[in-house]
Amino acid sequence: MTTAPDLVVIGAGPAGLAAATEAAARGVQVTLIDDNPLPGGQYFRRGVTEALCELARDVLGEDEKGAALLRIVEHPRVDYRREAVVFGFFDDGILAYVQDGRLRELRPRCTVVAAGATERPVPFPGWTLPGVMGAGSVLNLNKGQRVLPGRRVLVSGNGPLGLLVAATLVRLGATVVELIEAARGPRVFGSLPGLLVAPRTLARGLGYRALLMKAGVPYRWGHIVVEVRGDPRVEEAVVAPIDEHGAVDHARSRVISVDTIVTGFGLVPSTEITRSLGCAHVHEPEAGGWVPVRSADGETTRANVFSVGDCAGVAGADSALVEGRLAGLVAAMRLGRVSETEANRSACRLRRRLRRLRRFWSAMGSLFATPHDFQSLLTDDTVVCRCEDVTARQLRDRLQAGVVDIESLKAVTRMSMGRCQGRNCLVTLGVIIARHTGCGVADIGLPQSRPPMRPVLIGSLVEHDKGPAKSPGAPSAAAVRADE
Amino acid sequence: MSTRIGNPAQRGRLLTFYLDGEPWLAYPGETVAGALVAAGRVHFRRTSDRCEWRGYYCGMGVCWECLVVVDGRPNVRACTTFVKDGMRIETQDGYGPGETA
Amino acid sequence: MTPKSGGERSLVTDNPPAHAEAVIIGAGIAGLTAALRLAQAGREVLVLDGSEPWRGGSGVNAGTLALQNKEPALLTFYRNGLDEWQRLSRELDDDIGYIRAGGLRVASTQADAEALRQSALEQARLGVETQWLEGSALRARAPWLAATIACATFCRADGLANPLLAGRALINAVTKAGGRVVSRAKLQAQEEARWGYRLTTSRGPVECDQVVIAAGPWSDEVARLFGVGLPMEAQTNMLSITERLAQFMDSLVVTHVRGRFTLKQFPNGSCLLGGGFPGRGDKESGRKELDYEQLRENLRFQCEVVPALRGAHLLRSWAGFQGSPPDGLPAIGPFPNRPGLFAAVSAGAGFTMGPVVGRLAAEAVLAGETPAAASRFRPGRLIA
Repeated sequence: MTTAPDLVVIGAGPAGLAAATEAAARGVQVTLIDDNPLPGGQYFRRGVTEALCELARDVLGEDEKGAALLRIVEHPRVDYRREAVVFGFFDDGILAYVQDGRLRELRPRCTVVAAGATERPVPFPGWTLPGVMGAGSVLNLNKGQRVLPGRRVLVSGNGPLGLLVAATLVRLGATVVELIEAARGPRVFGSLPGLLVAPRTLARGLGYRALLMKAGVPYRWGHIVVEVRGDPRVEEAVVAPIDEHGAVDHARSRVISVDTIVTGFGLVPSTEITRSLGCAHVHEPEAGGWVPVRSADGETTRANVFSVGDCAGVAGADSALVEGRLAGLVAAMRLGRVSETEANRSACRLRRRLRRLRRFWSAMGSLFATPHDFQSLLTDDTVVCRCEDVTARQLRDRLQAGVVDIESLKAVTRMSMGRCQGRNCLVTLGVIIARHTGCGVADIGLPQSRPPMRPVLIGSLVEHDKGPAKSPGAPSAAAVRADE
Repeated sequence: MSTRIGNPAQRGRLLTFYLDGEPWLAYPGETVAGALVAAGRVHFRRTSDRCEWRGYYCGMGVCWECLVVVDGRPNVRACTTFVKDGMRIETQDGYGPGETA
Repeated sequence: MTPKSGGERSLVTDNPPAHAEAVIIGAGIAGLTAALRLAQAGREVLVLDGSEPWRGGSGVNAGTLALQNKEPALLTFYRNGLDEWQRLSRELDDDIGYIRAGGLRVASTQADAEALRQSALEQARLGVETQWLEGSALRARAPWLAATIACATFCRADGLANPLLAGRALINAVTKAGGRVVSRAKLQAQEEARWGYRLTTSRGPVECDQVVIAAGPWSDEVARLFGVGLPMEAQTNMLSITERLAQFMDSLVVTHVRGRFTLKQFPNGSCLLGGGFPGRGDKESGRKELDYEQLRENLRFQCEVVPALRGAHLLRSWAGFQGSPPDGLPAIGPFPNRPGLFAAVSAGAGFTMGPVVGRLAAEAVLAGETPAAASRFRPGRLIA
């Protein structure tokens, strides 16, 4: 247990686990920080008790890939710190984090940021009503607790995740009344070559499609939820056609009785850590938004800081695994554990694989591409900042009054000043400012990122501990008793 | 009937927690949010300004919508809090207990 | 340029006009209030800010408007500042979150208590009344203070405003009064003309009769462009804000006799933890970062005084600059040997004294000489 490890990996999802695995295999002392009780991130999320894991034995095969990776937390060179939340980076190489109610520091020589991504917020009337939930939340509920979100489910959004969620729910016995996709129609012609690059993944996707067809679940393209009603939970959804410009045909809307609406509009890379480190970022819509500028091996513009997986650009779990390995390898080389020639040899192979995977993901993106920004869904009363209850009208009034600079808008509307630290609203804010001023989202600039990276109890920050948590070693990767 | 997948009895011993004084059941490894959603309850708190219901939304602890009062402490995320036997949960109104109108 | 009435569209984003009577460099609290008073007196006013308005100390401070934590030498001056804030809160169309519910200045140790007693006596001599609280009276008044707080003085004059709202409110008021505020217009050069000054800015030239330097910590750089000395020292202060919490502080502002402590809870429930613990950075580079050890000390001190803060989630910490002339007094009024050039530069708690600094600077511009109330603060005293 050291406070000056060779390498700190932040995040134990696919990318982080892969980085830790590769680096540890090469002899690097790794500290792996993750905010969950078990490793795996969202993608390899599992139940925390043996019973829940047992109940999941029959579930879709993604978890098998994870089993080997998850065991890295027991590796002798891996110091796994669970339920540890990064507080922030400070001068003098300090990485401060909170674990077990105490603030602790690390001074890594290299850092791999594998912080994942969050759901893209797309506001529409009624989206704050309980029963409307993100696609990731439904998968988590299933993988972690084997619970279905509701009885009559509508899956709506944009992108391939909706297909996965709908298929998962159907297989688990939920009633999925419909899967609706906002894109006008699958742009198969342009996407096909790229999709064929990863035939197994493509086949899996087609399998989900077939499953839905067999279950009689309609899969409607060019439609979207325009309103949700109910109290205190969702009771009905209004669905209408939407075209490639975002224009909604309200005259052809229908009302569907549901108690749950799962929305998935893609993911947004979590860049608060790389932004706070002063890494250069660039706005890439296909990657989910702002992403750190990186070398081919995932190194940011800050030396020895790598960013991999969804937090560096959303490209699927397979890409994340390869990116993680690459960064782990290059970090190991930096730390003198592997020669440059050996590193380059392995890196070449990994880079080739990565290029292929990215082609697939890019093709997937163009399959579902929608050129508009869903602003057409907003009414005056639609809440655009969930934490601070700011409506579209309130924001637009300020824009009309000439307040167009993002920092000033945040100050007077309080958007992004709530607990979510802007995760649910900064994307919307950027899109609305861009539309109003006629500039591009990229021109609006990168939001500031300062500690804390996540909200943290002040009590934890005043309890200081120079060493790591006193919890008795890493728990077995298989299960943790949650009721002790 | 809950929306739990599989035979609930396989989840281990039954836990009891209290929501606004009423007993609810859960199993080890379930979060407050998971146990509530399984029972059909997705609304957890009312906003301060417009008294509107909010609840389970992101499921990964980043949206801070699923706030409940746990054993007297407000602003606790239901989706990251594992149920403990005897836990007392209250619907959070606004910013929690102690708030004046 | 077509004239525009205030409120319909702020003129912050337009290019500056070719001419104005009075140009104010810096759209912070001092500059904007100077602009407001000048515009109200009928002058053609233009405020130029090198970046976005209100982005310096005014935009990132704690919003504390306390009297009893101020040094005796400037106590009455600060009180005038607080009176100006009260005036503004009534005058401005927009809400600035102004609350004057009083404040508690607390003492932890016996030594603190003695210092507090002495300070209260001195303040009373200077005409600032406080009420002594200890024991059960203190507990009843503020049960949320730690049991280790021995005593406190309550001052009715203490209050707070919301820095996030005040800037926009002032800009709107200046615009409504006929003034203009232009952003991203950095002063690059100037030359004296018979009638005044010819300014070169990053957004075009401006000719004017008078110039008021109100650039806070960066006033020294601006003064240098005019060939005058206005030395400024700056420090980087840290601030932290919590999530919204149920109201528990009765809108009181808390300070500590030892200094390094301000705490307030805004109407929306969030608590702002200040005190001026130093961050890292400097005004020349513009770098303003947190200092890890100092931040922990800051938070530790806060929890020592108000233990309930331990149960609050921290949402944001940040740092901002605070500047003063080296002798700790503001610089207000005309520069010697530079007709038409004035200073409106705060010292110490710039947010608190800003409005009176602005008003006195405006009076100096209108009268062409230093008003009596600012005689101590002549910029000339700073020139070697």
